[in-house]
Amino acid sequence: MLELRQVNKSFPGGVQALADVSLTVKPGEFVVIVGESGAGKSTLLRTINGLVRPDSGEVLVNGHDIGSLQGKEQRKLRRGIGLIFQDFNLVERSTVLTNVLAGRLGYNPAWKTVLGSFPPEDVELARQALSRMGLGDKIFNRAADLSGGQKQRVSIARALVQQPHLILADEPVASLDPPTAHDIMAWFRKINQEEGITILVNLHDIHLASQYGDRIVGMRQGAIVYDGPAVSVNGEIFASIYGRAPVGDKFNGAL
Amino acid sequence: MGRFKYLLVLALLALCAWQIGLDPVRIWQGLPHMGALLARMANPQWDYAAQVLETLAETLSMAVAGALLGTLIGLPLAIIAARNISPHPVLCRLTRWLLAGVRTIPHVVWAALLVTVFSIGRGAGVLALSITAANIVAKLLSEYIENLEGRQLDALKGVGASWGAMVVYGVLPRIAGRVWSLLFFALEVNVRAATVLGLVGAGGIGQLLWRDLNFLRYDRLATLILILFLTVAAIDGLSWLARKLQNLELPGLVFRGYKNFRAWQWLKLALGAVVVALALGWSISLLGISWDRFVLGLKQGSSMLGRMLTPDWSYKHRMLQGLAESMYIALFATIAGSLLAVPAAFFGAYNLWRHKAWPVANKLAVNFIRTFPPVILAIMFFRGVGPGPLAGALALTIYTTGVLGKLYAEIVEAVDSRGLEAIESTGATPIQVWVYGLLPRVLPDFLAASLYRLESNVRNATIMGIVGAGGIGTWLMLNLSARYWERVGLLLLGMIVTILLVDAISGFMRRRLS
Repeated sequence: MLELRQVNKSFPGGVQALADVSLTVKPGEFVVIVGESGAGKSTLLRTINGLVRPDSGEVLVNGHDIGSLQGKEQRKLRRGIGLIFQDFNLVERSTVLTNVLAGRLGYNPAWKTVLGSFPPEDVELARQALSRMGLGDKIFNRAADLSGGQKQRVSIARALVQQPHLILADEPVASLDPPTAHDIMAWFRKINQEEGITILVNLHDIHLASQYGDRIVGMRQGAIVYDGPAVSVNGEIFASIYGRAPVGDKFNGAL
Repeated sequence: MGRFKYLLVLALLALCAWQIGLDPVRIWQGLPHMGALLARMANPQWDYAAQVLETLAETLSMAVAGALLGTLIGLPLAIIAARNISPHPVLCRLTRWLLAGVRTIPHVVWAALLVTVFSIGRGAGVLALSITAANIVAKLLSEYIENLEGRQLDALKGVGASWGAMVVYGVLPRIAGRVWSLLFFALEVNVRAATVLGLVGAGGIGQLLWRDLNFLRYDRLATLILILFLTVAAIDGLSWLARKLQNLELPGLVFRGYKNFRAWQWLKLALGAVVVALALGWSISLLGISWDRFVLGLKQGSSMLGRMLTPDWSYKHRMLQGLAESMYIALFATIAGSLLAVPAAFFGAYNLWRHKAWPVANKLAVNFIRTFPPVILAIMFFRGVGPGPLAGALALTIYTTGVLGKLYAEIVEAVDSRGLEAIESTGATPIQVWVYGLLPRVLPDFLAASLYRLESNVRNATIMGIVGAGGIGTWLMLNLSARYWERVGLLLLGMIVTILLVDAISGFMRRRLS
């Protein structure tokens, strides 16, 4: 359902963000992509969503090459992919409900949504997603009034109302404190297990990664250097991803 | 090399001083006359004040209408001109070119041109103010939109939103506060501009100003300038208040259900539509230009434009002479104003003084001199040194000191104080702290601010001639009133090329600084 074939991407200035990346993800998998910042993790996710167009290679989402699609066709493919960011990217001045309804923009004609009009089913969907994320009493609050963890739950709700088959999360817990980070990661696991939504999460922290992911993909300098089950990550593999040995026995202890 | 650069700047200042006829003796002898003018302001003529207030109302309504129309036109232009949200790259490029082109022509010149097209009166004034306000709003707002983080728009792109939905859900809520503050910024700019539009027949208080100036009624001028000063100060205060209001957190509304929420949304939408329609209707009615007159004006305008596009090259001597004089005025004012602004900034920066009385007094003084539009200041200098480039240059210097004094102080206040403490702890005197700790750190920002000011001063210097304060404006006014469009075309061409050139050089130098 998701397949990358020899994808390359360089940015002006000569940085090669993706170097001959090939990756296949089966429906319902929970994949965690790890690596240092600058390893190309974000570019990988943005390429899958079509926000970044690869220089060469193919990105097949449900058999369609998202990089070669334009306009309406591309928007149709995108609405089936939920996107979660480190800094939430909510519209702070708008209500929580409006932020979540934004997830339905791809399903509704522009002229209606511009007037703020959404079909009742969509509103119901948003309401359910919010109460599921434990924010049922916050729907008319301004997004600015929420805590970091609550904001990230709103953005998960926004992704859920897209009724996606795939959720991409780019460092979703990097701005949160450790207990909240675990809470958010647990939500991803729950969504993955209960609804069978495929999930790709970028994390720089390998401990968190091996705790939640089934499969770990390690990236270094734009290339995939490890792809395998979380349980078999050891000190040697750690070194190949991060270019240094794990400090003390903390790493081994985490496994 | 470093020393050499400063010497070069000082040599340039000396050259300009010589060219504009800077004569300390003349200034010294003129001071008592200017003092007398200021003293007269303390003793206003109340019977004349009533007449002034009547035209003041017209001036204010022109400024408000220009700000409203300008913001309404500037908002869509800003969205089209912002590279990250523009509906089409070609459209984006064209809009940017259009805005840059319109920006090279100062508001008074727009007014003078529009007066000949749409007849004398406030209509031409409102149009001129709308054009310049729309340009300011479009430029500043599109820069603001481009500075929104790309990721914030990605979130909506990622859900497959269309362009219209992205603008409504991603851009508009994020720029609403900015639009509000720009509306008031445009109003502040317009109030200053509106006071001088009457000089070219575009309505408002400038017409009285012109009459008093020509009849040498300095007693009346004193009253008039006092009222203008108070008005500008009041508008600045109001604008400050309005911008504060925007940061006020409204208590969150509690809705009983989605229906109530939608009703509230509709109410907001309807109210917004009514307010915009009223603003638009009132502003257009203030123009006082009927549709037939508008069409006729367009016809006249196109024949005028045709004549301007065939410039009279035999006039190029005057053009070059006028441009040179404007450049001397602008350079003198920028360099002298920058030098004067340095002490003003150090005395005005909050973080340098334990006792806040110093900076507060200084900020008040700086704001006071910034309130007078440069053309009005030039008229005040006429009393001391007579009309001509010297009055223009001195007026622009004072204005520049005011603007840069404020900007420099804000730059100093933004400096991290820890570095200063490090030097202070070595036992350095305050002067040593400033020279060794502060100046090297703020100098690049000071220079960048001065270069921005130079761009603005070149525009100001080109219009100084409209009241007789030297520069190319003198010849522009002469030929505008004689309707010698071939010569006007040549003068405008010279102005546009000069302004674009100065902007390009200044932009290049600012990029080198950063």
